[in-house]
Parts: sequence; structure tokens; C-alpha cells
Amino acid sequence: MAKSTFFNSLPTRDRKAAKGLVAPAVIGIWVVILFPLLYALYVSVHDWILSQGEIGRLNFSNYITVLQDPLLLNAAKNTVILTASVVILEISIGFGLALLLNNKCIRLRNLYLFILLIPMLMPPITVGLIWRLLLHPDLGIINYALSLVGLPQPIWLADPTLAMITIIIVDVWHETSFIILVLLAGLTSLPDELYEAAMIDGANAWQKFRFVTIPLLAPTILVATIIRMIAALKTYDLVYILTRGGPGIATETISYYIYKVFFVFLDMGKSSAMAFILLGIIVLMTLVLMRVMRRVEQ
Amino acid sequence: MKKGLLTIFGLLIIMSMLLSACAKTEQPVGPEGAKPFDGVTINVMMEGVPDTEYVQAQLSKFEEETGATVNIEVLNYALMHEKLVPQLTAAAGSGSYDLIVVDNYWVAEFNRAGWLMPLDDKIAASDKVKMDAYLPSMLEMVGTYEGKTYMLPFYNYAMALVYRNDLFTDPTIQAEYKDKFGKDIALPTSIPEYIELSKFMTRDINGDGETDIYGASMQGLRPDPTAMEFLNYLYSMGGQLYDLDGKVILTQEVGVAALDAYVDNMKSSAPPGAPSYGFDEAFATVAQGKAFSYITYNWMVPVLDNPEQSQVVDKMKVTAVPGGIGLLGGWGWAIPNSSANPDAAWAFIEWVESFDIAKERALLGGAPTRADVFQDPDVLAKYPHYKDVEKIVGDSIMFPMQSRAPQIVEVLGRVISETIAGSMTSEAAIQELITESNNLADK
Amino acid sequence: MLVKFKRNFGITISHFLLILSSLAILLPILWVIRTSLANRLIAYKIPPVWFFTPTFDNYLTIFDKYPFQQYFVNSLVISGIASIVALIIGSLAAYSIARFRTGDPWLRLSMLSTQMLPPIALVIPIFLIMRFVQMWDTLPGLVLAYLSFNLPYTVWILISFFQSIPVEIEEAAMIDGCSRIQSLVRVIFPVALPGLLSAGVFNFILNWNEFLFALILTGRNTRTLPVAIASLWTQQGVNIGAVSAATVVTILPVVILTYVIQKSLVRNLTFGSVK
Repeated sequence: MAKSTFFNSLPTRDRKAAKGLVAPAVIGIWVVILFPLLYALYVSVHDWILSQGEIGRLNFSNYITVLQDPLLLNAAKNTVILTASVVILEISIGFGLALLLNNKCIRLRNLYLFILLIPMLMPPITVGLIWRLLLHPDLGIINYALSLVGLPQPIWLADPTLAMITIIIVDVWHETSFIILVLLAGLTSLPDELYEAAMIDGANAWQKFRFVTIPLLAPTILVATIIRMIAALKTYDLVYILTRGGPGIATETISYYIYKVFFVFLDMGKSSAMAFILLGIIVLMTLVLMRVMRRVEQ
Repeated sequence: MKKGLLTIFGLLIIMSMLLSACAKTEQPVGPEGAKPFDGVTINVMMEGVPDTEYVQAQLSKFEEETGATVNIEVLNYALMHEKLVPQLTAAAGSGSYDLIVVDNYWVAEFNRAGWLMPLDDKIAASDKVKMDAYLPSMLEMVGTYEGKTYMLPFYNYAMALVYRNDLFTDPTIQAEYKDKFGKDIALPTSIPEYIELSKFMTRDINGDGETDIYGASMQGLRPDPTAMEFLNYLYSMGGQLYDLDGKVILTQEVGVAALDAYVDNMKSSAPPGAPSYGFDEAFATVAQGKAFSYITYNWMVPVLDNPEQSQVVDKMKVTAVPGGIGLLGGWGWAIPNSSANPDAAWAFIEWVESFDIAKERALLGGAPTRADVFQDPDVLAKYPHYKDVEKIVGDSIMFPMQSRAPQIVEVLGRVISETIAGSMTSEAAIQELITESNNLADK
Repeated sequence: MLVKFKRNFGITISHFLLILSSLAILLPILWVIRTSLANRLIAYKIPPVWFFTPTFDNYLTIFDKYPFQQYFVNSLVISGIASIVALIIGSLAAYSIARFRTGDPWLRLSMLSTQMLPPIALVIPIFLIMRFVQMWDTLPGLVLAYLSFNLPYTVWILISFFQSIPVEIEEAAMIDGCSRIQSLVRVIFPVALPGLLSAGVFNFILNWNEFLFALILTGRNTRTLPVAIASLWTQQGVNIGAVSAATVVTILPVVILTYVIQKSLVRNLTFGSVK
């Protein structure tokens, strides 16, 4: 988006006032998070198993040790597969549905919206428990329905390849609502004038979509993608409830692995080190994503 | 917009009011004379299990006697550990929980960290608590640690074999068994016999070409469901992870034999989804009448006799794990060092573990830990199978008393799951288990 | 004729897709509602029993044995307050960043980066702080903790909304003689209303579903719905009927939320965007 000369021409007093508007948020965020962040950073370079006494000696090699852990590398691979799949699926499906819902000629669109937003209010723990009920290979309604129409009855979570696909399906079921909400709000806030102008210029539907909707909506899509990506990279609750990382190690994600090292092994040092490594990965992926999107935008 | 906001606000308020309308009004605590703990609140953290419900039902008696208010916060198993750990690290007297229950495999972890209060002095000074009433196996597991007493056993969850007696005694099936094996059908006395029987019982009863009775319902979910189940196989085949001194004594030979047997049963006699089953899925399979047997907690029979939950009412029987040695589990009452009211908490333990209250709990359906409760005529009259359960509890072996037990369970669960999934051989799995058990052992 | 056909065809396809996806959402939910009215035997029965006498035992369990009405109110209050506070503070910051590129890009990156650390690493230190300032198991404590992840997201969502509002609208208003505050309040906020509301809704949902902080930072007094639901998962198995009943209760606010969203969308249409 081009920088406005108008705003740049404002007097410095106004520009200072603008900085003041940011202050409460910055203070708010850092007050709550600064100490925990530094504390975690401090712990990440120390030996410390919570049940074995006080914080131990300084040990920078935590970072190296955890990077050599084959289980963490496996978890990283699974996390990338999971994140890429759910983000791509959720953004495409969510954008598609938001476009359909934005069409004012569609009747009952409030009803559709109502239904499509329901999953948002379900905590991951309920989503997991409920899908376990639905997906029970012998006693679940889904396999029963499949058997009625003569389709094979998969064992969903018991097969190493299928288990990951199942988690992806459940995640898409749960999280697409969020994308619909954000993109639909973005679409409705686009000024009608631009579409009118495009129509006067004789643009067809595709051209309006390509040259008005996409560029104007790009920042919103970027934000939705980044937020979903960050959340997906941190997935642990669904894995915890659906598979506990199994069968074998087929669905273990980084966050679930960190969670285990932290709460089960009580290894504060190593789990914090892993958390910062994950932080690094997420920052990197976000920067890449922003660059890519900026290029698309231009 | 104002109107819109008002409507929303109104809706919110109406919703909250509707919901709070169903709230029970709490009974005010009346000012009555001088009771020892008037005005004291005891905060207790417990797990959501039937025994906790029985305690909650009995609670008012204690509150009347002592004037104390007992707040029981109920959480599920996995979350308890997460929630307890930060609380337990609090300084003495400043914790949020005065009294907790401790699962046997946290015992070493909590005690090694120094989070629990030794109770020996309190026990010596008490005329109510009788330690010799407890079954020795329970006391060893959720009572003492390295010579000191930190807990009083609360209830047991020894594992046992639950099976379909109607199928077992069915004359047609018995005849078929005799035809096939040339001997009378009998309860298995070893794991290989159990696997043979499971395979035999896996059958298509209605003749539609699909198996509708599985020989064994099993739980292959990582980490504790599968690890706990597997340990019954290991123990019954003569294996153990550690000896009493905490040295690893598992041998490759026994370990591989037990794991192969476990995987064999999972693949040939359990439902195809069993590698992902947790307790719920496995239980539902039994409750819906789709399995012949299930190695589970000994107190599941009454649950399976409840027509609201099960289709196999009065058809289930319980016996020892084939081979005779199952996994013992149990919970104990403990006072954390961070407890703000240790005296009131101790008074509560004295009361809740007294014979009368423990017996009352057993009659409600609780799982006893005391020999005198197990042998009480009233209890035996109501639950005749408690004679067998007492023996099962006495013979079973607990999970090794190691401070990093949760991590050992995690490793065990992973290698079993990988063997089932085929990404590891049983030899490699046991190899890794032995190596990791050595690494994680308390030294 | 052809144009009309094409349009009708498009609408039919749209309806088809919308019905398909609505069913994908709705059928599992209906199954949950059914399960909430069944006992454990019926819940797992295959082939399913279609007609059975519904039991309200599961609702009795959650409202009588556990005070779910209390948990519901806790969740509602905490989520509501935390999202309103985040929206107020966050929208100011977002406007400033969107229009003046305050601290760009490092400010917004650093804000978001606080969200990239898995919360597990932060939960113990936050717990320690809350104990220290005596806010453990209090509503303000949880609200404050929630701000730590609410605020960055709010700012992020809103920046893009403010950016997607053409600067010209504001310029026009200011040339017409509005002060900047006036143009902000009278022109920008109404146009950004859908964005503000969706950010508010998003916050609310994040708070509503948050589990880890709620688990560690709450006690009996402030327990929220997700933690309460988790405690229906016992050693004797998941009380699936009660979980279903609790789920039905949990999704009740969707009624309000969709009302809010639709109201804002409709408003946006009636008043047009600018003028």
C-alpha cells in the first residue's frame, strides 16, 4: 500500500500523538509478558528438572542436546506437514465460503453463517472428545454411516498415515469458522464505490475479484494466514486428546513434545530451550510468509 | 448501534440469570459451639473417580463433627499432575491445597522433590489411625517411601481379567473348544493360554462374515493405557523392570517374549482400531457386548452390571490376570509441605480412613485398601468377589518406585506403540526400554 | 435470458456448497445433542437407536453435581471483559500503526512474536507472578493473563482492517472540516465496525476456549468451562453424555455472537460505507 503523502504532511505534534495511542497496548503486552519471557529464557540455559530440586547449573548445551533428539526432529517433520495442510485447506475453504456468504442474493445466508460459526465456540478438548466418539471404528456413527453406503470402514486413528489425515480433518472442521469470520468481515468492509467504479469501467466478475477484491483483501488474508499458522504450529491439544502422538510417533508435534517434556518429565531447562527453538522457527516462517504475500500484493 | 449493544447486553444478562437460577444455594455454616476446626477451610484436590464421589457423599458428617468446611476440587487424572506441580513448589504454608491424593506413580517423584509431609509423628500420636490394618502391598505402594510414611492408602486399582461368563459357559462353545483342542475349556493360567483362548473366542456369531466378538478388548493408546496393559503381560510372564533396589533387571529374552505376546493378541484378537483405543473405546467395546475379555481395573464389574452403561449386565466375571501377577495401582492421602492447614488436613485423614467410614465407602462401591474392610461380613455379603480381589491386590506388583516414573511410562508407551505400528521391532523396542530405564533410574 | 440462467446457476451452486458445508458442521453437532440426551449404553450403540426416551440426567449431572452454571458465568465474564479491554486498547494502537506506521515493522513484529512462544514455556512464570501479587484464582488475574495473548492478536487483525480502509475517505472527511478525532470516530470506526466486531468476537473465542492458563491459574472460584469439561474425563472413562451436555452449554453464546455479527453486517449495508 502506497504511503499517503497526506499523512506525512501532518504536523509533528499529531505524529507524536499517534505514538501515544500505541503506548497502552505496548505497555499492556510487555508488563504481562516480559518477566515470564526473560524467566523462560533464563531457565532455557540451565539444567533443571523440577522434581529433582532447585535450578541447576548454567548449561548452554541444552539447545544442542535437544536439536540432536531424533524424536524432536520427527515431531518437527509432523508439525510442518500438519501446519501446511491445515493452513492451506482452511484458508481456501474459508475464503470460498466467505465469498459465497458475501453474496447478498443468497437467501438464508444468516442461517448458514450461524451454523458455520458454531465450531468456534468449542474448546479443542471437547472437539477431540467428541470426534473420538464419532470416529470409533466399531461403535462410531461415521463408520456405521459408511458401512450403510457400502464404503470401507477406516480405522482412523489406529493407522499411522491415516491418523495424521484424521487430525487434519478434525482441525479443518474446527478452525475454518475463524477464517470465514475474519474474511467475511474483511469483505463486507470493502467500500462499494470501488466495485461500482469497476462496473462502470466494464469489469466482469473475475476481473472485479482479481483487481479489486484480492488486492484490498490481501492484508486481511495475510493476517488470517499468519494467525492460523502460528496457532497450527502450536497445536498440542488435539493431538493430546486424539492420539497422544501415536500410533508409534506418527502424529507427535513439536508443541505436544514440548508439553510432555515440560509437564510429564518436568524438565524445565530442555522444554524451555525447545520452546525458544520453536519460537525461532515460527518467526522465520512468519517472515517468509510476509515476504511472499508482499510480493503477491505487488 | 446503542440499541444493538443494549440488546446484546440484555441477552447476556438473561442468559447468566437463567443459568444461575439453577444454581444450588449454598448452606450457610451456622455458628455452633466450640468445634475443633470452626471456621477452618480445608482445600482438597482429588481426581474424578467413583471413590471421590463416595467421599463427597460422606463429607457432611465430618463437617458437622469438626466445624470445618471441606472444599474438594475435582480434576481429571492427567490434569491433576499439571496443576499440582506448580502448587507443590510453593513455600511451606502458602500452597492452595491443604490435602491431596497421590497416584502411586507420582509417589517417588513427589517425595524425592520433598513436596510431601512425613506423617510418622502424627501417626504415632494418633489413637485413631492403625497402620497394620492396611494390606502390606498397598502400604508399600502408597504409604511409605524410603522408610518414612508419607501417605495413607485411599483406594486400590489393581488390574484383573474381566471376561464374559455367558460365553465361557456356553455349551456349544465349550463343545467346539473340546473338539478343537481335545481338552475342556478352562480359565487361562498363563499369558500364552490367554492368547490361545482370545483367538478361539474371536468369532462371527451371526454369520454375516464380520467378526462381532473379539477375544480381547485392548487399549493401545500411548502412553499409560498401553503401558499399563502391557505390564500385566510382562509381570505374568515373570519379567520386571527394576528390582527392589532400583536396578534394572529386565532381560531382553523375557521382555521380547512379553511384547511379542502382547502385539500378537492385539493383532489377532483385538478390534482393528485397538492400537488407538484408550480406556473409553476399549470399555465401550466390552460394554456393547463385542468382546470376550478385557484386562482392566478390578472394580469395573459393577460398572458393567449397570444397565444404563452396559449391554452385558450380569454376564461379566472377574479373575486374576492369567499368570496370576497383574499390575497394582492405588492412591494415597497426603499432606503437601505447602499445606496451609496441616492439622485440619490430618484430622480429615484420620476421619476418612477410620474403619467405619472406610467400610461405609466400601459398601457404597469403593475399592478397599484395608484387610479388615475386605474381610468385613457386610462388605463380603454385598460384594462376594472381594475375597478374590483381596488376593489379587495382595499378589499384584506395582509400577516401580522411581522418581521419573512418568517418563519411564512415556518411553514404555512409545516403544510398544511403535512396535504395534511396525516402525520398530520388538527386539529394538525392548533394547531401548532397557537403555532408557537405566538412564532414568534413580541413582 | 442466458445471463439470468447463468446467475441462477451460480446461486444454485452456491447453495449447494453452503448446504454441504453446513451439514458437515451440523451433523456432528446434532449427534452431540443426541448424545447429551442419552446414557452411555445408547451413546455407543451400533446400529444406533433412533428413538429412545431422552434422559436429562446428563444435564442434571453438570448443573447439580458440578456447578456448570457457575463455570459458564465465569467463562462469560472473563472472556467478555478481557475482549472488551483488548478491543479498546488494541484499536487505538492498530489505528496508529496502520495510519502512521508507528514503529514499523518492528513494533508489530515484536508484538506478534510474543505469541509465537508456546504458552507452556510461560505458564509457570505467570503462575509465580499471580501468586506473588495474590491474583491466583481471581477473575482479574485471568483477565490480565488473557490480555497477554489477546492484545497482540487484536492489534494485528485491526491493523489490516484499518489499512484496507482507503485513506481517501478520511482525507475527504478532514477536508470537509472534521478534526482528526472526529474523522476517526465518525468515519473510520463506523467503516471498520465489522472488523472491530470480528476482532472482538475472535478475542472472545480465544478466551472462551483457552485451556492452559485457565487450568493453572484458576482454582475453585474461577474455573472456566474448558477446564470443567476436562474434569468430566475420569479414570472410569469420559462421561460422554455429560461432556456432550456441557458442549451444548458451551456453544450457547454462538446465538449472541452471530446476532452481533449479523447486526453489524446488516448495518454496514443499510448505511452504506461512507457518506
